[in-house]
Amino acid sequence: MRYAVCLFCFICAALACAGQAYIRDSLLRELNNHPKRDTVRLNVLIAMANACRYDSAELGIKLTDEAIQLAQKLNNMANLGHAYHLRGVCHYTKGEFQTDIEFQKKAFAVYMKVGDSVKAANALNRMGTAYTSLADYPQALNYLQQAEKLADEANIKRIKAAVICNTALVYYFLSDYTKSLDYNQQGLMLFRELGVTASVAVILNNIGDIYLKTGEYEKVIELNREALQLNKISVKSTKGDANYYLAIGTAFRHLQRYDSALAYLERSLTMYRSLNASNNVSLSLNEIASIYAFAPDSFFNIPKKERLNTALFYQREALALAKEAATLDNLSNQWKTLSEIYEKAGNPDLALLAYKSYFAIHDSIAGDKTRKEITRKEVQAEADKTAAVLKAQHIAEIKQQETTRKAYLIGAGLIIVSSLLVFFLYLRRRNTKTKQVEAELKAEIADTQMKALRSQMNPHFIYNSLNSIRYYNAQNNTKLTDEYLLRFSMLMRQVFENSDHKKVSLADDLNALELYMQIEAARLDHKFDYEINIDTEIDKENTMIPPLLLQPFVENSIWHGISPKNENGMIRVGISRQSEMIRCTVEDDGVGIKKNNIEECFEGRDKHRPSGFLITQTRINLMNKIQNSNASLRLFPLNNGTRIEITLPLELNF
Amino acid sequence: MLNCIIVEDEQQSIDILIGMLKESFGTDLHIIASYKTVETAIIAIREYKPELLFLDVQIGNQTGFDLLKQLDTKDIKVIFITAFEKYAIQAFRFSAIDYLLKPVSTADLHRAVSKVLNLKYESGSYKKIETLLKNIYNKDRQKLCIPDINGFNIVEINDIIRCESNINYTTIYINKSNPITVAKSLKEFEKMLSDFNFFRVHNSHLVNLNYIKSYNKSRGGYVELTNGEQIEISIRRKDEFIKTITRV
Repeated sequence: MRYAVCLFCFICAALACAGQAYIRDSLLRELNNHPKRDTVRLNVLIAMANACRYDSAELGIKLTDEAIQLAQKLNNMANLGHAYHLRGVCHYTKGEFQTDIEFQKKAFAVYMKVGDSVKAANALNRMGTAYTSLADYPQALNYLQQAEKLADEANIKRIKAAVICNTALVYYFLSDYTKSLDYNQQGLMLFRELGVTASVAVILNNIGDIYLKTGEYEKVIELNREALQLNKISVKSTKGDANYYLAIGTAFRHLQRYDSALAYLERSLTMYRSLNASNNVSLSLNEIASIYAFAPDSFFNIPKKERLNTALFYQREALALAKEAATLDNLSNQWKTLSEIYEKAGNPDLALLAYKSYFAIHDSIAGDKTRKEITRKEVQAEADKTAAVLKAQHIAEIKQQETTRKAYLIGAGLIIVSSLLVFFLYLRRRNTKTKQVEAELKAEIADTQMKALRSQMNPHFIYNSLNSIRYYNAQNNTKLTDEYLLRFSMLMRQVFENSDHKKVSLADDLNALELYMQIEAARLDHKFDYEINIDTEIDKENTMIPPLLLQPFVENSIWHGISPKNENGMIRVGISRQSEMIRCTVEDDGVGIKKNNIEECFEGRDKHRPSGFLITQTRINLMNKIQNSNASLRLFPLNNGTRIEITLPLELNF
Repeated sequence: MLNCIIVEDEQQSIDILIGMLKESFGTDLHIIASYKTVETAIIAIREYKPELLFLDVQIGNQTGFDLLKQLDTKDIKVIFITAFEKYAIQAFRFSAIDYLLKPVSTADLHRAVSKVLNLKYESGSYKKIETLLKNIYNKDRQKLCIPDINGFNIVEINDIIRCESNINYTTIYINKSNPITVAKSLKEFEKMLSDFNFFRVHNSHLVNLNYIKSYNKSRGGYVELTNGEQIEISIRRKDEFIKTITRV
């Protein structure tokens, strides 16, 4: 079992540049050439400190000391900030994390004062990093969050990306790999966007570390290979390459591809050695030793003993270097591997000794781990709390939005519904109105037609009567002519008066009808008699009928029924009541209508002038349309004569 | 013997009338002359002072009423002859004046002239003519001559509140005056008055719509008049009544 391979790289906004030694030398020359304590010297001091912050921390401290004093004297705030910041970084390099934090705080204050959000955010980021190194993760997260906020506000993606990656690292230390992976991927995206290849490579390596923890070794290899590629085309950092080789080698070892593993690990070892990076050298050595100790026998051509000796050789060096420089984690891990190798080599005493050492350190680490675990829980709780608060706020906000939206929706709905309602009501009303107007118009049209039909009755009378007058006159019968004329004028007067109205009383209409029959009887030399029978239950003054309704049929009876007949005839007019209907009949004992002549009755003999029958039929149809009634006209050919029957709805005036 | 003048613009009508009069009354009637215009007739009447005038309503573009307006009618009797002048007929009815319709029947002519001959000395008939002329020329204040046993009453139509039928008689209720009962059917009054905002609300009731105070739907519907009377409305007349009253 192995413990974490902690290859953490802090990402700083200002990346170290290559060839710093050369720059430093030239700067030093310039510094010596410029002893005057002015802005130029200050700038050189700052530039120099910047160049030696990672590898010549002592010199850096001296330089920044002077720079701080000079900046204060010159009241050059921007450079004062830079000086504080660099001083802090130098302390960090020396492992004096607390001191770093103090200087970063000063730098932050100065940057805020001059309103340089970018640098201020960077200072906060560095504080987060320092706290991470102090394993004070809550503080680390606190400052990283502030940094992120500031970066967000100032919209500085570069700083934000760095802060996010450092946050990922904090979670990595807290063994919260899910969150760490999440943050790393966010950071990766941002850096890819910004095109900062070096940082992308570092993050890829960091993500690889997470996958090492979770046992996804293929991914580790893939990611680190990409990192290698990027490193080659951009930064060309040896340490970077060494890191990536180490990661790939470790992954291969886990995949039991020992050939490849050894190749990569030995490469990383060489590189680390050239960089004098003792801790990392020890890590590489540990990996190599593990392979020699635990790979299957079949893999090596050398005897087992020799193989184990080699393992011990590597592991002892690893341990020595770890004692010198490595973290406790690494150290305990080295002891453990050593103990296991001794055991394998059949040296239980030494194995036990090594194990004891491992255990002693492990104990302290375990304490540390417990502390970390507690911290992690605290952080988690804090985060959960914040998340809960945020969530609550969010929910409340959503709820409020929803309420508002609902209100809007309801309001809009109401408006729509009410406008629709109004619209429909309007439509309906308009419809009703239109219908009403239509109905009225129809009624009016029908009325007019009716009037036209009523007045069509008159010419019949007039022409027939005029004919009679001519007849009397031709007979030279002055008295009869005069009498006939008077009656005719009386009848005309009544007809005109009656036809002025839509409905007249039965009494008035029958008066006219009787007068008509008298006239015609006189004209035909009393060839016919007539009879008007009215049911006693009918009040003829109060019963209303359309004017001149029966006249055409009486006329037909006289002229087509009785006139062609040899004998005298009889015309019977009957008015009777049938529940709510009134039935009017005209019956004659004339020659009757031949069956094939019935149609003629309807159409009229003269095609250009409608028959009285047709006119009446049309009147009845119109009346039914206007009053929605069921009046009817029927013709019954009798054996001896003709009978017509008109049924009308009984209509009383009062 | 009664002296008379004929005012008529058609020669044929004049000839027919003269023939009929001579045949019916012979020497009882002396026809002074006949005139075809209002102007000539007025001169002749003032000159000859006839007792009876046969007066056509339409004379050229003037009327018999235009003629009467210019005369002192106290001592003259008039028999109107009309073809179909609706307004004139209504005016005659209002004034209770007899009139003859063209073509004039011998019987009608005989009756009308006989009446004049018999009532030769009756006074007051000129008032009917006054009423007639007022009605013709003053459309706003139409008057009605209502005959009774003692003679006749002249009533302003606007003052008639309502008419109620009483078999063959009709009782007329007049504003601020006693009711009058006439031997005429309600139907006749309806014919005369329906153009003057009267409405037959019931078989027995003709009401002046100007006197209606309110209409009540309850009890099958009735109207209350300004004098407090309540008149029932026939179910069959209700729709028509509401239509009419809302138009007013």
